[in-house]
Amino acid sequence: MNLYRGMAARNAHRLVWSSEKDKQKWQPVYNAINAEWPEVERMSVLAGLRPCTLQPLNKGQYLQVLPWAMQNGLFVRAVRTVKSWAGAANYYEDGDDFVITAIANRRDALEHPEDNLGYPPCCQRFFAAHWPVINDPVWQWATQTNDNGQHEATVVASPYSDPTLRYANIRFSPHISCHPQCAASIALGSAMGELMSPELRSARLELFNMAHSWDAYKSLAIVKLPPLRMIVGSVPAAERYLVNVTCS
Amino acid sequence: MSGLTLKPILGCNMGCVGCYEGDIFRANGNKPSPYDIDAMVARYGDKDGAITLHGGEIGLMPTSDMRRLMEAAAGRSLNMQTNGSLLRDSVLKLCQEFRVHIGVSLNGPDVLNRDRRAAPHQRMASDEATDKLTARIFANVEKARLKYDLGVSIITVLSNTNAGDNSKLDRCIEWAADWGKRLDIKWWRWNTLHEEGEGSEVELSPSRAAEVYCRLVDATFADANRLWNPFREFVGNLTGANLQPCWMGPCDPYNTEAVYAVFGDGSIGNCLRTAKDGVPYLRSEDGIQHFRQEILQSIKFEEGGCGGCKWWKYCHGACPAEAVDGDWRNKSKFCQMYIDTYERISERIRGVQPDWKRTER
Repeated sequence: MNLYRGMAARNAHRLVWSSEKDKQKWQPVYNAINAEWPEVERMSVLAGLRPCTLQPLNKGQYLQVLPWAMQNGLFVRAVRTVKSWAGAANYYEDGDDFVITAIANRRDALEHPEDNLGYPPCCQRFFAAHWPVINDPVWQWATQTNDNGQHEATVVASPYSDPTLRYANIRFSPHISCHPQCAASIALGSAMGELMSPELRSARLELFNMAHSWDAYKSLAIVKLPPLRMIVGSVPAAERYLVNVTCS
Repeated sequence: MSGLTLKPILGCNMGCVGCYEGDIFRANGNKPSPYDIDAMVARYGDKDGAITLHGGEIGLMPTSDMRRLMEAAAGRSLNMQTNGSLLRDSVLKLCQEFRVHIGVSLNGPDVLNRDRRAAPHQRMASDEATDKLTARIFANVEKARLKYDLGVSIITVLSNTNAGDNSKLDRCIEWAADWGKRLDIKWWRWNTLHEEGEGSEVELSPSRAAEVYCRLVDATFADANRLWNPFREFVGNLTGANLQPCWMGPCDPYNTEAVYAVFGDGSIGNCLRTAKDGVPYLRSEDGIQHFRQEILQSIKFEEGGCGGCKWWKYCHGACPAEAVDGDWRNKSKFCQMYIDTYERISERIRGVQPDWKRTER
């Protein structure tokens, strides 16, 4: 992948609706999905699907999560404090606005929370192979390559292992999976789907079942679904990379 | 443009090559949704300033509905932007009653106007039908000026069809000069056609576009009555006026400052030049962002960005709609045209610019 050297990835997120009708239908759902996701992540730890999760919490949220975790026999550790950011975070900066909080179902998992997030080993290897040079490895997820010669790909993905809509927490699995049909990610994503409200799980599936695309260039990706588009921070690619996705 | 831009009908009776709304018309099958006058009028309080009746083609609207939009403006300044083919007497009378300024999109006499096809589907419009329609539009403009004494300005879109060589361009200049003298049409805007899909073959090459703009600079300066833009505006830009046209300022394609569009259902959107994929998306709700300008500034000029360009503060990468590959993350494909034009104008006005250092002292 051809990158601009020295161009920083962005923490950006914009949402643009395609029409008033789309906005009326989907904005409440979109907001509810966003609000539900952190809870789904915590519940996945409580349910034993994964040992640990890392969440940025503001001080009010931290004070709410702490007693909830203790009442449920979970363990909590404030890992670091960071500045607030806009939209999908590609990185954190030190500051006082949010506490990056590890919530675990085993005390020892708090020692090295990043190693205990419960992501499938294949996906951990995939991510480690690209991060931090490629901060948003969706092209690599789609094509399994860093090939400079190719710039457009069309893939059929499982909604349970599709990271292209995750910027708005439209997701089932908590990680970027290694492949559009990664079996381990599909298993984890399906299990996490069981923790969602049935209405919002169906809404996520409806969104994934719409043809969508991820189009990254110059540190911004334009993610398009028929009712909306998101403009989010992504790879500082010197050439445009486009992934068209249909889900099955 | 500022104030409100009303877009009740996203459809058109013509099918012009390079129309920046053409992708929208193709996507909706040129069958626009019904409009709601009350919902549109309810938006009049959103912004002060002039109200522009725009489209699609506003001439497709019944005169009675146009009257409702104009009456509701309650004395605010009114403009209409039209292809001119449907400027019937009832519309012209209405424009006279409400003192509406009419902007007509017209690319030149007879064969020079052949990008402006006579039927919604370009391939179905014969040259003969297109030339006949051009003659009718010419007659409508003359009637608007001579019979109804309406203020008229012209937007001419430059392409290989009307500016591919100097003989064509000079004919356009003669035509504009003639209408300036005979019809007192002084305000003229010369835009460049930009098209990535069908019709891209008539787009001027960047080098030809630069030649065309420089020739038009000279023609503009040849007569003080020629209020031809963007050249007069560029003089203003170089001498400290607010940046014009809108795309010389830092435009946000999802929150276009110059165009606050009101669609037929009363929802609000942007300048549709930016709707390159045929979706007239709504205005973003997070205010104006300058992602595009930050990107362009962070990339060196030699690598396709604007970093280090001495004209940056007068241009900001220009219009996102005419960006390379139709991708707003790029700068304008006519970058060289803007550089050459600013160079040419700054040479011409160098001797008459104030000595700011001396003035400050």
